[in-house]
Amino acid sequence: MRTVEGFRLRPLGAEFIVTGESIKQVNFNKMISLNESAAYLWREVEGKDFSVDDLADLLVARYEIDRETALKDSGAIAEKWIEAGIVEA
Amino acid sequence: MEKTHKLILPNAELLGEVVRLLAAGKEVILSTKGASMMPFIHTNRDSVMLVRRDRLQVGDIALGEIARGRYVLHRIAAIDGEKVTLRGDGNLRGTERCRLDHIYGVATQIIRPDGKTIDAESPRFKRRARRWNALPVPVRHVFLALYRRMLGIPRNINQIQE
Repeated sequence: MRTVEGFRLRPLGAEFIVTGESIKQVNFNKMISLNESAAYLWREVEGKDFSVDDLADLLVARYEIDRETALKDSGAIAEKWIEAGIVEA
Repeated sequence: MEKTHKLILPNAELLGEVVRLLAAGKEVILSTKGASMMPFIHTNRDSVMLVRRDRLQVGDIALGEIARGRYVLHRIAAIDGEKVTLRGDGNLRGTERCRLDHIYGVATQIIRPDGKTIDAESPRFKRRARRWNALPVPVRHVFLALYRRMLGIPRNINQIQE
């Protein structure tokens, strides 16, 4: 899968949001909020091809969690991103 | 006595970011909450496109900060030097005041869920709004009540954040 072009991560208070952006326009309608770990994943994979496995690797590398948990979390995050239309399968 | 309704926008933090983006010259698209701009902007359904305008006019739908961190998207009812009076089309009474430099943007388009857009700055649209606001209060009251019921919007939706 791959992040859809035109979506950008921006900090918002303690959280992060991904918004649809062009040079001219920012669309907060197409907005999804991300927690710190999801924002970390987004930064790592933005503009690249990636798989749920890649996300799990990134989570394991940064957080002290086992691979099984990381895979479960990654699957849920990827599903949420696809559903929100910010990642295409 | 009926309370003054506010078109509540997403949280103040987000609005702070919107204000920065508008100041930087971006167009910003935002969803709306609150029934105070009915019948022209429908709560939880319509979005608006905002831009910064150096010149403001009576009749513009403006994003104003009426108190620190409290924003409304209401129509400009009057401009008196540096003082702006705002009023929601769906409000039968009650206005807000803010400084001219606390108007951060105006709505150029109202975007329906199907993607259809309405030019919020067109003379035709502004004329409709003027006609609506010139109707006697009881007429607007009845119309808004019926309209709300038709759309299934609870009365108290306007009163969050009061």
